[in-house]
Amino acid sequence: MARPKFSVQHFVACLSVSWEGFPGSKTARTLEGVIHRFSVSPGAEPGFEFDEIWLYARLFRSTQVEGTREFSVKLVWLDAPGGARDVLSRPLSIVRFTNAEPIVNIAWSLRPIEFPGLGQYEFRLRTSVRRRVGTAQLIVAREFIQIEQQP
Amino acid sequence: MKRPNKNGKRVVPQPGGESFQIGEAGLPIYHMPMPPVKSRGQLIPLGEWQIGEAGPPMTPDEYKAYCEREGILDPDRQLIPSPEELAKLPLSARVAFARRCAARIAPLAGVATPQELNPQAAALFLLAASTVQTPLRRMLRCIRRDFDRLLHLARKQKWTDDTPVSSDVFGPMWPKDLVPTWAREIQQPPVNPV
Repeated sequence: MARPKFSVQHFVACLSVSWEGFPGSKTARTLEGVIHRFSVSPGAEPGFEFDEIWLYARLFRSTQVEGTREFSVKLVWLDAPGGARDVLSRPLSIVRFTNAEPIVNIAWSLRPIEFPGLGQYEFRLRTSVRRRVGTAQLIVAREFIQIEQQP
Repeated sequence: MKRPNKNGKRVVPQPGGESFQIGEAGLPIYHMPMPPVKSRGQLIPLGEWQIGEAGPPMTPDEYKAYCEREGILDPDRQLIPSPEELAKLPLSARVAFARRCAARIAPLAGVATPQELNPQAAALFLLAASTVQTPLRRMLRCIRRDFDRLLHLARKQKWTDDTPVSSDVFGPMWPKDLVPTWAREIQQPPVNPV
């Protein structure tokens, strides 16, 4: 069965996503703490564990096919000693595309989230695609954040 | 999967509604040995935002004057620079441009090529010589590119009528994939000394 194709219009990491009214699929949400650089409190030692971080994506369906797509995220520590290292992967919820709603806004919460050290991190939004030899994970968007020690 | 602006194509949302879906990530699958957690808390946003403000609304004429002042190219400009546009160039740049136009069609015109040629005349030569592989529009764009480059440099480097303009400022005569057959240099085989 064909799966809907889509393009990722925005992919943003932020500290929280709050409802602008009663929670529901028609209610807009506000992204809070949208910035590239984050800090940890002075004196904090790695590894760091934070309550949550959110990933927001806006997806445009590009075909007339209704259906769902599965996503996952991989966190890569770009400034790891010795070079970039994969930190963790997490499956994300399934996204539904319908003819009535071909545009999907989705916010995923990652809670809790651990970072092994300071430096730059990359969130890779991936979706599963079928290949002749099986299913592969295709990177569809990337977001970067920097974690620094507060002076 | 479609990437936004893949191959320069815009990705436009389909008509219809939109939904806001929420989801929670599943359990983490670690790819590296994680150090023990020593610090807990919240990330603190750091860094600065830049505040941008849109300028006042402009009428089409004001916008045109603004583009001219700032050197912003009009996407709908003619492929062949008009005499009015040419008049904006300093004298030396105009001469260099006319020589470039003459050099461009020199292989077509043969020995009768004048030293200097206006772009309209050069375009007529290209019109006669265009082929499927070397379409007219792309060839005329080369003339426009030469002119735009001169205009940009004249503005940036504050050229005057006396500023000497070398033919090197133009760069290659044709893009690699557009060199017409008649413009290709005939490679002479090396003379065999034996």
